[in-house]
Amino acid sequence: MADTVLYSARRIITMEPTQPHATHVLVREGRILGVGGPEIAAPWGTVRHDDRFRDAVLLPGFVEAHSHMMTGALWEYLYCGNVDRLDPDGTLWPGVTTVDEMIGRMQAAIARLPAGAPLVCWGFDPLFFEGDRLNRLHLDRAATDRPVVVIHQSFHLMTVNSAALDMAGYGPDTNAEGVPRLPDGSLMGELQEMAAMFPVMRRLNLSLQDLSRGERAMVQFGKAAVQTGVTTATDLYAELDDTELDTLLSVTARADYPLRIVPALGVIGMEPETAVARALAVRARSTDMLRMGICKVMTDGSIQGFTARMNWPGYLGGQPNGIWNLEPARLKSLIAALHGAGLNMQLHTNGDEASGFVLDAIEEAMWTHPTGDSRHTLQHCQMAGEDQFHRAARLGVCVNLFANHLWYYGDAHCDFTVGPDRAARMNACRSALDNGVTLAIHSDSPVTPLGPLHVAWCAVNRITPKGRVLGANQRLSVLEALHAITLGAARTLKLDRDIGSITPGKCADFAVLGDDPLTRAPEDLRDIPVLGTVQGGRVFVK
Amino acid sequence: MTAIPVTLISGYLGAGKTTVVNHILSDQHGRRICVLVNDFGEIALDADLIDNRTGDTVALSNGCMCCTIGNDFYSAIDRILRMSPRPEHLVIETSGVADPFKVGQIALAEPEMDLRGVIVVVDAVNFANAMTDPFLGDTLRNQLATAGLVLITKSDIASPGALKSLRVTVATLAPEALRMVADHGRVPSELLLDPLPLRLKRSDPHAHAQDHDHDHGAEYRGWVWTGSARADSAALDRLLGADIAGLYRLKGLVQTEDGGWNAFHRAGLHAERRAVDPPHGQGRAVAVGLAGHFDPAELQSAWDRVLDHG
Repeated sequence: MADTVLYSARRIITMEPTQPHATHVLVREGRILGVGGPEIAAPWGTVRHDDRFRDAVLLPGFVEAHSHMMTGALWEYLYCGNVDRLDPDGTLWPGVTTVDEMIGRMQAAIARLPAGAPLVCWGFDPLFFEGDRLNRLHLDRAATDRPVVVIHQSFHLMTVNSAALDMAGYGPDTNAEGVPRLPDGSLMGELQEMAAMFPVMRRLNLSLQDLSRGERAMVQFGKAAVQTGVTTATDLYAELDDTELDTLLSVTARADYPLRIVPALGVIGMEPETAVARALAVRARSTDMLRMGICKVMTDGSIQGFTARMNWPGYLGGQPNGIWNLEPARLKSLIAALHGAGLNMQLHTNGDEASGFVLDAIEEAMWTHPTGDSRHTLQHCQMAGEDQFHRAARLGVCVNLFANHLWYYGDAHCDFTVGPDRAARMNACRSALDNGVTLAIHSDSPVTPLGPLHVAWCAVNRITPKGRVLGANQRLSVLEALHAITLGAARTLKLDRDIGSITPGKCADFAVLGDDPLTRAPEDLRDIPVLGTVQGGRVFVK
Repeated sequence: MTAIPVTLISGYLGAGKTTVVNHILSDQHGRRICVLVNDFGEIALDADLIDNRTGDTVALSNGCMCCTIGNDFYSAIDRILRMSPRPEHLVIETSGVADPFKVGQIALAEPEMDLRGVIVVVDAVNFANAMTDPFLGDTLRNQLATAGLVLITKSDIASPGALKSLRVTVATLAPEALRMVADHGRVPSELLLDPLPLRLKRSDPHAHAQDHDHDHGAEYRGWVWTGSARADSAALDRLLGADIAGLYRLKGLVQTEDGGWNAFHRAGLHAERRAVDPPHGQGRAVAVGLAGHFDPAELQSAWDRVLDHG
């Protein structure tokens, strides 16, 4: 007879309308056998009572429907962000907010490195940093005898010391965009966008792609998930070559691996037939803990990088419109082929021209292959207005909005990219729900930190670091936001048969919280402690 | 290590970039050129030209190679820079929506790369239509604004009206770029790989176009000869000094009557000829001249008279 466990909790928030709240959940074979009060165990024979969660609040395990495998592995580099964060192994890294604090941390790290070995740091965000813009002279205080590289939180910029500039061959004659200078005419040490960062990265063999590969990256990703209540997470642009796939299958099959991984096959650069064949082939190798078959399609760039494709009136400063990743005609044939093969697409669209274009392409694909439930999902979809949400609902298209952007880039959007009026409707969660669109919200970790409660907090409060509220009418209730990080997110991945809510038959995946989000003040949502997770009935709480 | 010269070939889907690339790869120019493309799909190489083929690289018997970008453009560039021996020239065929201004930055930033020019391919039949595409028009404008050389394809099958209006569009959007008619992609590779005026300091192409309603650019036609015939050195010298209408540049490498090899070069009024070591391949001559003045057929006749057919 399989072990049957009855967990009691202070409260269980189920996301199921039949029984929104409960105090007990019965678990057998990794699945939920019953939900309700203490009486639910009676019909099921012998049960073991487990009261370790009696003071905790259980929610469906969080589903991060837009994150990346790199999340855990980045901690191989030295964290230099401004907020306190736990690394996947549980060490607390206090935020650094001044140059002196940062240099101190670097010097301590350098003392542990071999002579001449480069120091690579990450997590630095100039928007949240006091004093002068970071430059090479600051970093020269950490070291002059080795390259020091600070990758910014956005991953679009880095600041390096003089030794790194020398190593890359940068000098007075350098004349490329994205290599700014100090007032005295010398190079500043900031390198903007990949073209400018490339000479440093290739000489240090610094590849963020490689960082995402291999067993350790997967293990660390799993640990980071447990800390943030996540039991299912996407790796939303995966190559899934045979080596990587074998490793994924073996790591996720381990008895102690705590995370269901949903890799989205990156199909940009593939011919449509190749993409279809590859996606079907990997889908056939799926397991409960490794769900494959969804495809990631890129269309435009980013709003803060001025590379997103925008509808009129475009960017606030008159910057030229952004760039397509692929010719629109090719995008259409790729979308038609994947849709025609019954494959689910997760489509990166930041600007509203891109999201409108993708809706066009999906609608055209549906003329040939009508379907009521493809659940293609617009990822980010930050600028969509009422018209596009309405259309998405009618086409059965879901959205996964980038709620964390409201906090991390909200002020920049008001002041520099689109202005306060359009910033107010960015990531319009309320519009999505009111139009009947299936809604998920995300962190795009590591672009912003993994942490669904923070993402939900953004959707509920829509506040910026400068204290603005961006579009008060677009705020969600706490329950709606929690839905978007659980059942809503599961639906966008077509996994809601198994996960996303606490109801008999689904996987016993829970987020274990130290307090009740439905009784705490909405502005405190992100401060609620996450004690760990239960994943497939296995407890991952310290 | 010396920097590898880099030329970008840009242009929208269907403009004829691949035809140009095919021509560069199979042309007998004697240089080890590496072409980086999005995929091999449309590259049509003669099977007997292919030396060997591994995942992302096709090596050709003429010393050239063709690589695909694969998953990541930057890793592909890094792979090429690590090759030993390194190719003599890198040609990057950008995607139809790429902004060559952005792509070019990599070759400006990386000290081991030396950006020589941006070529934008437009086709005389479809360009006007493509420009009206709301999703693409601005991308095409940006591409043209970056061009050092605009290659016009399909002029042989375009209506005279379409060709005329294309010339006006190009002159407006890329007033300082050279233009060359390149039906079927047939332009001597040397001319494509020569340093071009760099236009990678773009601030605002729209404002720039408004300031310039006149046309600084000029349109060229090309001519090329490859063969093993020997040249008569006296006749060659006469040709180098002859009055040839519209000729802008003539250069080549040819065996003369005594069996020695000579390199020759003529630009404007300046001309020279000197003895050189024998090359690996055949003799070769290329020329470029102003369209409307320079007649490739006339130069071909003159060249036939230089060759020693005895």
